[in-house]
Amino acid sequence: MVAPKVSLVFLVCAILAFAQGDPGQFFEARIRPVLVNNCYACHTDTKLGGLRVDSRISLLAGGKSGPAIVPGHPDDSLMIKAVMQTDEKLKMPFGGNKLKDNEIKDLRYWIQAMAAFWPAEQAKPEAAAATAKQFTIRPEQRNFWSFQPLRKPPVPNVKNAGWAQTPIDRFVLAKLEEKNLQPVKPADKRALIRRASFDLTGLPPTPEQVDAFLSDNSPDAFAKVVDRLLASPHYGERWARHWLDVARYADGDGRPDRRPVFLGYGMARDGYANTWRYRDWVIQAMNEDLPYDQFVKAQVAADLLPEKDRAAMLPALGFFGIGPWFTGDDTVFVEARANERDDKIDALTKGFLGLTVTCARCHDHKYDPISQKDYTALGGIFASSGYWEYSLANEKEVGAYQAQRQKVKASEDTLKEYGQDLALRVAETLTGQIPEYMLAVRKVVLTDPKADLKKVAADEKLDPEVFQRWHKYLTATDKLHPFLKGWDALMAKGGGADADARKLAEEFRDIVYRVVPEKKAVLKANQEMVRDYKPDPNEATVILPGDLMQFELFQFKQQMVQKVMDTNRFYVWIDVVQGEDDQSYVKKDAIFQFKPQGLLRFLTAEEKAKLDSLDAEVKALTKQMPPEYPYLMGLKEDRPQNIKLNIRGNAHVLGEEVPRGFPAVLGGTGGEPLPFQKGSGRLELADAITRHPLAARVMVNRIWMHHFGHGLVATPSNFGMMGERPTHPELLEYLASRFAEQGWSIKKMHREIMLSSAYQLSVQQSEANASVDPDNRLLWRANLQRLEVESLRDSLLFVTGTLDERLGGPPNNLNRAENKKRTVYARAARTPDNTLTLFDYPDPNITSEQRTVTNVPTQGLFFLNSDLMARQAEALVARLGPEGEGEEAATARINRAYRLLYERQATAAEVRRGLQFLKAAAADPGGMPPWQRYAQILLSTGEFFYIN
Amino acid sequence: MKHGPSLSPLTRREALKQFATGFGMTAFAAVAGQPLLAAPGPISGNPWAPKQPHFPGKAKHVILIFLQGGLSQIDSFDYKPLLDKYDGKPLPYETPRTEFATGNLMKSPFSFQKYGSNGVECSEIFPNMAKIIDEFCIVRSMISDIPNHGPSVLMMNTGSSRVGRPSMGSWVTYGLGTENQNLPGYIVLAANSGGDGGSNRFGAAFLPPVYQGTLVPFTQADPKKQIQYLANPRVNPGQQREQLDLLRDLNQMYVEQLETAPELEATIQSMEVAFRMQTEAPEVFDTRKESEATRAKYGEGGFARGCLTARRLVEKGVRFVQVIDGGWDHHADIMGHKFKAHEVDQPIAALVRDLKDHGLLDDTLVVVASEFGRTPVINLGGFRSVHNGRDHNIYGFTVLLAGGGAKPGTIYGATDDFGFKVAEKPVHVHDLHATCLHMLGLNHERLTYRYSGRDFRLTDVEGNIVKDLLA
Repeated sequence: MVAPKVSLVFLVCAILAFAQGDPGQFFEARIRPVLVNNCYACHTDTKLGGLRVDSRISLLAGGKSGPAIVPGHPDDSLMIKAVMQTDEKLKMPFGGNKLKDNEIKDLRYWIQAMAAFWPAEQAKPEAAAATAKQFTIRPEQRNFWSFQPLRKPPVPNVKNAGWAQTPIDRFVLAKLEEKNLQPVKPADKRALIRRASFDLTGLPPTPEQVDAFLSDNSPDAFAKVVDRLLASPHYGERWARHWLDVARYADGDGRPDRRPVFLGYGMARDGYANTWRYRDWVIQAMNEDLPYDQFVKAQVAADLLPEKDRAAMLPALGFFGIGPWFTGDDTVFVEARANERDDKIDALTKGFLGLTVTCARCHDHKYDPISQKDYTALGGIFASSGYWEYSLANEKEVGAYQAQRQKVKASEDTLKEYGQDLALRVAETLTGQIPEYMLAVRKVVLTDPKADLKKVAADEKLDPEVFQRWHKYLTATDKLHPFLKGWDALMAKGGGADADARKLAEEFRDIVYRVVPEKKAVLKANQEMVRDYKPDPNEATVILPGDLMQFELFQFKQQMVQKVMDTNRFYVWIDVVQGEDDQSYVKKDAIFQFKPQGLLRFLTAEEKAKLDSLDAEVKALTKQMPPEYPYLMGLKEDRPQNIKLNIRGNAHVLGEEVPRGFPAVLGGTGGEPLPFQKGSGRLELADAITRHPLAARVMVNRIWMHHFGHGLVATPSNFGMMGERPTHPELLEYLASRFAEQGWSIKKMHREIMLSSAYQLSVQQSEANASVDPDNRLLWRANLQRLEVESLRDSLLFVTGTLDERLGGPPNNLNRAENKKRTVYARAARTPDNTLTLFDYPDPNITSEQRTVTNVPTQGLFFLNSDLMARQAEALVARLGPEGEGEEAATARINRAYRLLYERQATAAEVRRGLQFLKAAAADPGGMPPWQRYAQILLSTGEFFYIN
Repeated sequence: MKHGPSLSPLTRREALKQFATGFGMTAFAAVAGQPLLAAPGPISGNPWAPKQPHFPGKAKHVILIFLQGGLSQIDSFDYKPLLDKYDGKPLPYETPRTEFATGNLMKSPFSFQKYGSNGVECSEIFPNMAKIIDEFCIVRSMISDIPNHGPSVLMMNTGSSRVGRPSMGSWVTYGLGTENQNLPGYIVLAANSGGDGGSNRFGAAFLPPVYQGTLVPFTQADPKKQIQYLANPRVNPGQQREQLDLLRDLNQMYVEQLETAPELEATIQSMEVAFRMQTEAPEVFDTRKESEATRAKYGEGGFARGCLTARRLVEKGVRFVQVIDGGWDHHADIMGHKFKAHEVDQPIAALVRDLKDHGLLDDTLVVVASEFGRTPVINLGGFRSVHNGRDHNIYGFTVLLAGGGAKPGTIYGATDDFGFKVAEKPVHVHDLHATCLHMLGLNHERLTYRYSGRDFRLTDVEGNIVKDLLA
């Protein structure tokens, strides 16, 4: 082991005097506090790694890795190994600061000299053990860093005061100096403006903007750049997208007949057609620098805000309104509602508070002081807040739209019904001719060589298509019903006598004659059964997107037993009269089943005329249909109701009722949730969130993360026990305090961060620094960052001069060539576009705290082969101007391209390489022109899609 | 555990050189379950690089054949003679909760015969699988949680009945990487992404998106129509090679300017791999390259093409292949099973045989599963045309395993006399997952990913390895 023996001997002598006095005193003064403050949070009841450290027996028993202590042998004790942090895989306290040297020395002494003495505990009565499961917030949990009130720490003193431009710098530098690290040189101005432009707008600067900055030598030159970028409408597009990741934003998939999550059923219209109004509200809020506390309140409770703010804030309710609403044929009502609430609690608590409250769905949270009652208290708020569409049209417009839709639907029903009548009328006519068809088939089968089917049909005056179908049907084996067994036997014997064949054919005809009325009777009886069904008046009516109010229908459907035909006669029905769309059967048309066009030849002039007029009516009414009125997807207050604990998370097994409220540890109450009184409690919830220091801490950390590549807290949506601890706790407190101080202004926060020396560092490497802090958590350099997929596509459009810079509006398909708007406006389906996920776009079904950045070959395929790259390469060439002649002209074009793409001159080597490529390419014509091939590569370089 | 093994810039560069020169991936080989990173953020190294399992496993690849909708155990591989006797009579105990209203018991309309050395009774609608029944390890005592498609499809594919957990294929690819760097490590062969569960059936959820399944529709025979961005009709291979050389040189010049940028160097290399992928992928997905005789063994149709492609992919070192078939939800009429079985029986049997002939069966685990089984009682509820079908059954159903690590000729567990509820040795879906991971050399409790401060697993907090299924 690492500890040198000499110092150990010295140490033992030094503390012996104290320890010899009273081991119990030493334990209480020097050992127990270390354990309580650093280990108890994870190693008492939660028993992480199977280990408890609150008794000697537990320490000896140890956890998954073995005994934690070996009395008398500190070097063999895992506890010592862990706190010395010499083993890469075993570093304790987990995520916290290393113990002080003297604390480690005490622990070593305690294990060696005192053989891990532990005072006799007072015996606990059995009853206490039994009630130990009662939820309590232990003092050390309550004292956890992220639950503490905001405190603005003093700005530390630093040695290199000249480097530090702002208080942020002094916090950063203090940490660096602690480890003897030197910040690297600052970024050059070109890199800086590029970084700032991408950070704030998601787009590169134009060459003119770069020139202006380079020639501006005033001390506030960079501040002017930051202010210009913050005022750009593109700022909102960029920063809204960051929030939309957290808000698990998704559009519908644009198909009215389908649900975003599970396949839906019977939907009248696309309930998710207005999702983008929430997205546009977020963009607008960012651009207007809506104070963050109001930003939060609007999303939680816009409908309950004072009248004057309400209209402008209502779209914010999309945070919940556009979330998954579970519907469909096989949804279990109770579970679906529970899952919807869970989604809301998850997005709410991770998004606004950085807490994983949904871990407490089935049991008390294993690590954080959040009880299942806390979870249920939040659930009640959402049980009392139903889905609601806020119409943006006036009542008259809505009324007109609904009335017209009814008319269209009625006319469609009439047409469909008449079509069905005609189909059955034709089937009945054709049924009468069954013997003729069957006997003609027999004739064909018995003829050798085989007769031409069309010729036979013509000779026998039969419909050729129907005849062909009968031929196929009768010569196939394997029928599900037994009614043609006699016929098949006769045919197997060579066809038998004509009279016998005719008799069997007529018998089959009579079966078909019975089938049609039987089916009609069944249909009628079932229609009446559905019509007469009275839903249980106690059952709540649930409103869901797309006018899905008939949810209970699905429930009764599952238990309702309808009338059915005799199974064998039903097989005749699907074989001969009408196929049915049921999973159980192979899809096919029955013999008498025709597409509308095919049916016409069997109709009378009168029938045709009536059909035409009904069809014309549907078309005319549809044409008059006004466009759907706009609306906002959100929540509305329902009857306030508490819900009951779901035992082990099972929505069917209920425990005690829990009043609506806020988690106790956040609400400052004892162990019970802080109760809410007004309506659903949503407005109180919004207030409680913004009053809690976590709201500011979590948001400033997100802002910081998007500037630096990682947060001060590396788990931006988990500030709980199992989340990471802040690398710079004082800096986080400072930023959070400033945030609140400056009126929750996100833009001011950007400004404060970006004007620091820390932000303006270069990406330069330093072996000395890297050996101490390889992941740059202490911020001695800037991180090289890859463009996110939105910025990648937007930049490809921007530098080639083809970006459509219009803001807002309904989503477009990402891959359509005509779609040149920014990627934030592309359709964000719940099953996201492949190109987006290829570049690490997060799963929009769950709230996302941070994007991963992966590097896989399929991304290379995008650069090499996608239509978008080819199109943008072409556009870039067009932007370079006329080709000209000779090397000089080519060099000028190359330089122009470098200026547009990288905002700099090409080096001599780069020019040479370009010219060489173009020359070789000219010698290999065909396919893309040489300049386009060249341009495509310039758009694929690391310099283009990494920010330094 | 906080961060992956961090290589110094120098060793990273050396590792990349090896990466560039072909498949010398050993420099990257890490151990399964050692997370690449604590939280999302930049991933160093190649996330597809093969990793050592926790312990030597028998299986190296998985083919998961998912028969979506609910394969009826009592009409396939769990014969219940007593049903013939009790046909039309009420179930003698209280009917457990299923999706729809149900009625009396109904016998199987199909006949059964004994096959193989154990005399396993197989339904007449699976004649080809019956002939090789000795290859299978049959689990007759599966249970799941919720008798509805959405949740149970997710449970079988992701180990959770709610949206938002990574699929089994994602976990396995995350844990083991993949052998062939020119193909995605996790490929899904299906008609489309439709059906309950949608793309969540093969999604990566919070795992890095590189581990999600790549859907390749089996409805098209021409691979260039199946895979996004696989070919560029605007340039010929020589021209593209020139482009790549230019790109490499320009990137190199930039890297030198920046002094060091391992992220960029990795990007340069993955461009080269992409270039090679363009040659390899169309080849492997093109089943027309197989002999007439081989294709005939698998039979006609998309599903057959999917099974044949699965073998070709495994042969090339793809880690996890999922073949999804739909349409097994026969509430109205169990006769539907006859048609569906006709579509899948021959291809599945051909796949198992073909894997064996190619020497691949020993290290390829084949799983044939549905989200649940079907009830022995008749389905009455719902708008049905006839009452001749069966409802969903989570209380007892059958899953078949073959190959890598599964013990052939095994019949494990049993349902009661009516084939409704498990009577012996229940195996929950979590247990099946734990066992499959074990066959791959993965400890399901150690294959974790830290997301939002919690270590997640495929088996959540459950899962017991069923030792009797192991070869």
